[in-house]
Amino acid sequence: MRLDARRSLRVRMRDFAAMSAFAAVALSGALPIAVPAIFALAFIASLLGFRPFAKQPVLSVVALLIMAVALFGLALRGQLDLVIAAVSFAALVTGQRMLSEPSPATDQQVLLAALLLMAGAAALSADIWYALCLLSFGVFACLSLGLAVVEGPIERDEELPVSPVLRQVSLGVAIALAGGIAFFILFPRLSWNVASRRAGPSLLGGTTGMTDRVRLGGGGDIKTSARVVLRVAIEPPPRNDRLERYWVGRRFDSFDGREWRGTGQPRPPRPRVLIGETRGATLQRIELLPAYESRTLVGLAQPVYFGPANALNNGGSTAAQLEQVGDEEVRIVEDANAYTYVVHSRDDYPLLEEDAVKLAALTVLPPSIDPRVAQLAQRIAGNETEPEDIANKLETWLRSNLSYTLELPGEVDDPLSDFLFNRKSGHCEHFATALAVMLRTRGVPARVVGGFFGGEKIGERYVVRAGDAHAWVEAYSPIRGWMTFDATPDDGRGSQPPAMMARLVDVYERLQEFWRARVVEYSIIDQWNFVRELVKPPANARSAGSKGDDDPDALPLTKTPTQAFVYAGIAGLLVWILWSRLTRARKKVHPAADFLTALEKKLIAAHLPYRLDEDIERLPARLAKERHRLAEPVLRASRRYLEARFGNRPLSGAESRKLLDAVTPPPPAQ
Amino acid sequence: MPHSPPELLQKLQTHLGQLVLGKPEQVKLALTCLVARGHLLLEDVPGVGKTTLAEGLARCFSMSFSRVQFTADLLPSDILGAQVFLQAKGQFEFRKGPVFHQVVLADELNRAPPRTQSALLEAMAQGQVSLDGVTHALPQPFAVIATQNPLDLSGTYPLPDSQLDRFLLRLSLGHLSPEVEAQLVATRRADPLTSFKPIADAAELVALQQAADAVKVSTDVADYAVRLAGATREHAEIERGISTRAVLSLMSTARALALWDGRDFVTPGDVKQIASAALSHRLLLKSSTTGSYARDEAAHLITELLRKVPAPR
Amino acid sequence: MSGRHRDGQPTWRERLRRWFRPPRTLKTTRIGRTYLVVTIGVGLAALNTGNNLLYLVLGFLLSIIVLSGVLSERVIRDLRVRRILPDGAFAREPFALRYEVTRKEGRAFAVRINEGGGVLDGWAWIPTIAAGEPVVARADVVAPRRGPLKLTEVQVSTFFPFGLFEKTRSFELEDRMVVWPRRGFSCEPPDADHGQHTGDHGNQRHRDGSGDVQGLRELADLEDARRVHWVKSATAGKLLKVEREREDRRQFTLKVKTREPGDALDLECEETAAITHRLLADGNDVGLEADGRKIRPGAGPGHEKRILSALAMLGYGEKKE
Repeated sequence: MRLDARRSLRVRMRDFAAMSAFAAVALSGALPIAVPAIFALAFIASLLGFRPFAKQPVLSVVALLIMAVALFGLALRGQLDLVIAAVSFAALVTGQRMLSEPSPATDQQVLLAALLLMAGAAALSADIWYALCLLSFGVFACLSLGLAVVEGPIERDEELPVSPVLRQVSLGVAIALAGGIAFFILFPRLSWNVASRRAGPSLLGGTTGMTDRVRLGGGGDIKTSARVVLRVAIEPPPRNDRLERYWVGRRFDSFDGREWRGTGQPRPPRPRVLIGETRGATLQRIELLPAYESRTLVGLAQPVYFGPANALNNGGSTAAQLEQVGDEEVRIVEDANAYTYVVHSRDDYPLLEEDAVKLAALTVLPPSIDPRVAQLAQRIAGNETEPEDIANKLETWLRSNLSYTLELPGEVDDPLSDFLFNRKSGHCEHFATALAVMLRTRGVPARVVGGFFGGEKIGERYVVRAGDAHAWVEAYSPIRGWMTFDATPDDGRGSQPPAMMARLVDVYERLQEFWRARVVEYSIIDQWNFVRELVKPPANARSAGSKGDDDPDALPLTKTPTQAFVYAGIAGLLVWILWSRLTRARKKVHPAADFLTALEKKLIAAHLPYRLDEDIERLPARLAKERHRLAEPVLRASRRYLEARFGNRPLSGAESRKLLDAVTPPPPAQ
Repeated sequence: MPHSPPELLQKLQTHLGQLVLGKPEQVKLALTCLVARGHLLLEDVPGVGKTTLAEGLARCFSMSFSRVQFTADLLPSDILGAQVFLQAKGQFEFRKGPVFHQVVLADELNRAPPRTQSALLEAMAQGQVSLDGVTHALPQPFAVIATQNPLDLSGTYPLPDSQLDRFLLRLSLGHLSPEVEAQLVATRRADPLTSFKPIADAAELVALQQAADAVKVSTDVADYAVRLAGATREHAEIERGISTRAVLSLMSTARALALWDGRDFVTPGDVKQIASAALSHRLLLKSSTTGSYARDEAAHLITELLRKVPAPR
Repeated sequence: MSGRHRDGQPTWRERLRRWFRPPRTLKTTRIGRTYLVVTIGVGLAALNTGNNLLYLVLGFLLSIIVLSGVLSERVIRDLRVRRILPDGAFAREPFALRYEVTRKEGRAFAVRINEGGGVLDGWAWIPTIAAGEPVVARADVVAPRRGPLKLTEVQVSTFFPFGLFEKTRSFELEDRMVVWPRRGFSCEPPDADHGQHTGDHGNQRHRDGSGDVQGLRELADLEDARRVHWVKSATAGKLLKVEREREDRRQFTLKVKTREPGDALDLECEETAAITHRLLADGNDVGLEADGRKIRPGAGPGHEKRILSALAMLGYGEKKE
C-alpha cells in the first residue's frame, strides 16, 4: 500500500478510536452539550480530510486555552464538575489534534488524549456501552499505532505491505484484551476509596417519573419504556409469573388544579422504618437499578416495614439511612447509583386511626375547580353516602365512559375539566386525579398514589419496568380504612412496550446486568470466590454456586441463540462494510484494474501474497520455480491482465470470471 | 525453420547458456541489448567470461566478429582503419579497421587514451566512419561490446560519464556460484568457443530488431518511465538524473524485453526489470566515492526508486 | 552473527548465560513516557476510587506494555545482519553504509539499525522483513575523523508494535574500514618536481607511453628507437615513429611534514587530500611523501585512493597493505 493510502487508513483508525473514546464519555450524558457538538464537528471534518488547524497551529492552541480557562472557570465557580471539566477539555484537545496536520506524532497525541477520555469516562459512566467503546477504542488505537510504527521516523512514499502488520497487531490486541481481563479478574481490589464518585445517569437517563410532584399535561412516553427499574425476590414466592399488582411508591395529598404534591415533613433518618404490623407480611428483597433514578423506596401493596438498605456505588456498597416523609414516602438519604433494601408488605390495609385534621386536608379542593366536576360527581354517585360505594360508582363510570390514551399534546389551563368534558381521554394520572377530586367533592378523603403496576418474572426474580409506572387513588372510609381504587381502564395500567422493543431491551438489560454485576460491582469478595472456585474441583464448583441469585444472568445470551446469531451477523456485516470502505482503493484508472484487484484477492486467499518488490508480473515466475500448483493459471491470468491493461485487448466479464475461477485453490483435503 | 521471437530468444539463451554457465539473466539482458540495437558495457574483473559472452553473441548469429585489445598506445586508426598507399597501384586505399565487423569486442576500453576511445564511441553512435572526408558505412547489424575493469588500476582513462551514455546496458557478470564453478572446473576441457556453432543468422537478428520496433508502449507505461526519470532528477543523492536520451533507450530496451514473452506491448514489469542495467551507469551521484562502488550505489538507488515510484495498475 | 565461539560451538554455559542475560536494552519513546504516566495515573485513580472500570482500563494498559515486550522480542530475536561496506569514505561527509538483514521465520517490522559503540551516527530503517528474503537498507552515516575505523557491533532496534518502547539488541560484528581525510581547502599548489628523482622515474619521458598520439612520422636519424611503433612500421614497411602531444603533465610529490598525531596533522592531511584531488583532476601525477614513506607519482582514481588511504593511516602506526 502506498503512503497516501496508508496514511489515510491510519488517520481513519485514529479518528474512529478517538470517536469511540468520546462516545464512552458522551454516553454518560454528563458533558455540557457544546462539547459533543464541537467534537462531532471535528470528527466529521477529520473524516472528510478537512484539517483547518494544520495551517493555524498557534490560533487553534489559543482557542483551546480560552476554552480551558472557560471550562475550569466554570468548575471553580462550582457550575461544572471538575472531572467533567477535565474530560471536556481532553475531548477538545483530541478534536484540536485531529484537525492538525496528520503525522505519526500527532496520531499518538490524539490517541493519548483519547485514552484520557476513556479513563475519564470510566469515572462518569457504568454502562455496558463503556465496554463496547473500550473495545473499539483499543482495537482501533492499537491498529493505528501499529501502522504508525511501520512508517518509521521519516515517512517514505514507498510500497509497503500493510496486511501483515495489521494481522500481527490484531493478534496482539486480542492477546492484550485477554491479558487485560485476566488482570482485571486477579488484581486484588484494595481500594483506598478516598475519592469515589457516583456514576451519572446513562444516556437513556432515569425513567421512572418518580418525582415529588405529579403534573397533569404532557404525554406519557414512559409507558412504552421497557427498561427495568427494579428487581425483586419475593418470599413466599407468588404462584403466577405475571404479578399484576400495585407497587406503592409515594402518595400525593395536595392538588392545586394542575399538579399533585406532598405536604409531609421528613422525619430524622433511621436505618429502619416500621409502619405497621409485620406478621404475615410478604418479604421482598428489592434492588433498585440505576435506571430507577430516584431515592423513593417501593413496596408491594401496603409496605409496613422497610428493612436495612444499602447504597451501591462503583465498587462497593454502604449501609444507607432511611427517611420517612409524612405518610407519603420512605426514601434513602444517600445519593447512590443503585440501592438494595428489604421491605415487608401486607395485602390488607391496616385500619389506621387517622386524625381528623389530616383527613380534612384530604378533602380540600383546588380553588379554581370547574363546578361541573362536582355536578358530575353528584350525578354519578347519586345519593350514596358510603365512601366505598361512591368510589366504586365513580370508578366504574370513569372506566366505562372515558378512554385511555397516551397522545395528549399541548397544555391546557384546566387539565381536569378538559379531560372530563372535552377530550374524554387521558392517561393514568388523569384518571387518578379525576377520581380523587370527584371523591373529594363528595367529602371522601382521597389521595393519589404513584408507583408501579405489574411485575414480570424473569429468571428467579421479578422485574418491574419503567413502563409499568402508574398512578391510582386511595380513599379513606371510617369503617374500612384505606382502600385502593383505580379508575384507569385495564388497557392502560401495565407497561405497553412494543414486543420487539421489549425483547431488545430485555437483552440489553441482561447484558447491562451482567456488566454491572460482573464488572462494575466486581469486588474482592468476588475475587475470593473466583479463586476458591479455581482451587476447588470443578464438579463441586458447579453446585457451590457462590453468587446465588445472580446466576441466571451469568450467561445471558445462551437462552436466545437465534438472537445471538442475528446480532452477531449484523455486527459482522457492519464491521465488514466499515472495513471494505476503509480499505477500498480510492480511484480506479482502468477497467482491467478491477480484474487485478479480484485476482490479488484470490491470490491472498490461496496464501500467495506478493513478496517485497514483487508484482503480478513477477509472481508467476516464482510460482513456476516453486512448482506451485497454481503456477499455470496464475501465469495465464497475469498475461491476460497485462494484455488487457497495457496491450489494449479488453477483457470480457466471462473471460475474467473463467480466469479467476482457475486460480481458486482446490480444497486442502488432497 | 522460422521461429517466433520468444522461441528464438529462448533458444539463443539456452544455447549461450552452454557457453556462459550459470548466468541466464545476464545472457538474457545481453541478447536483449543486441535486439534493441544497443551497445553493451561489461564491467567486471578479468576472468569471469566477458570475452566469451561477447564472442558467443557474435557467433550464435554467425556474425563477423573482431576483438580489439585496448592499450595505452592504441591509435584511432588501429580501430577505424587507415588510408594505405599501395605501391603496386600507386594510389591510396582505405584499409578497414577492426571496427568494420558486426560485433566488435573492445576489451579493456578504459586502457586506451581518450582520443582513441572517442573514435570508437563516435563510430558506435553514428554507425559509420568518416575518414579524410570519406564516409564508410559500418556493417549492419552492428554492436560494440566493451569491457572495463572497474577495480582501479593506475594508468587508465575512465570513460567520461557523457560517453557512458552511449552504452545501452551496463552489466557485470560477477563470480560464479560455487556449484556452477565446480561443474565448470570438472567438465570443461577445451575452449568451448571452438565448438560453438551458430544457430541463427544476422537476418534473424534484424528481424528481431524490427519486431522490437513494432512493440507498442501504452501511455501509462511511458508515463511510468518518465516519472521514474523525474524521480532520479529529484533525488537528493543524485547529482544529475537520467537524460531524455536515457529514457528513450530505457524504453527501447523494454521493447526488446517484451519480445521474450511474445508480447507486442511493454509492461511496467519490463521497465522495472531493465531499469537497473539501463540506468545505473547514467546516474551521477553526489556521494564523493567513485568507481565500482558508485555503480553499486547507483543500482541500489534505482532499486529504491522503483519501490518509490508507483507502477501503473 | 554475533557470539564468540569456542571450538565452533558455544558451550552450554555460554548459551545459558546468553539466555539469561540477553543483550537487550529498552528505552521508552516520548509517547511511551506519556503512556507510562497515564498508566500510573489510571492505576492510582483505580486504587483510589475503587472504580472497576478504571481497573479494566488499567488492565488493558498494562497488558499492552507486556505485549509490546513480547512482540518486539519476536521481531529482533531471529535476525542476521551483515554490513556492506563502501571501499572508502571521507571523514565528516555522509556516506552510505548498507546492512543486509535476513531472518529465518516470521516477519519483522519497523527495524532500525545503527552502529554500536558510538563510532558512527546515522541509522538505517527497514519497514518489514519477510522470512528468507534478504533486505538491504541504507544508513547515511558520518565518520567523525580520518583513520582506520573499527566497527565492532551493530545495534538492531524496533519500535514495534506500538511505538511505546524501543527495544535494542546488539550484535557483535567486526569490520574494518578506512576513513579518508576530508578534502579540505587547499592553498596554492606546490611546485612541480624538478628532476630530483634519479633513474627513469623522475624523467618526463618515462610516462611517454601514455600521452595522446598526434601522428606517425618516419623515424629520422638519431631519434630514439623506442619511439618506433613496430606494428605500424611492419604494415608500412618502414620505420615509423610515434609522435605524441606535448605532455602538459607534471609531477608533484606532496609532503606531509607534521609527525605528531593531533589536529595539526589532521588539518595537513585534509589539505593534502584536497591538493591531491585538484592536481589529479588537472591531469597531473601526484605522489606522496610522509612519515618516511613514499608513494610514487601516479594518476587515476585508484591512485587517488591509495594516497587517501595513506593519508588516512598517518599517525595511526599501523601500516595498511
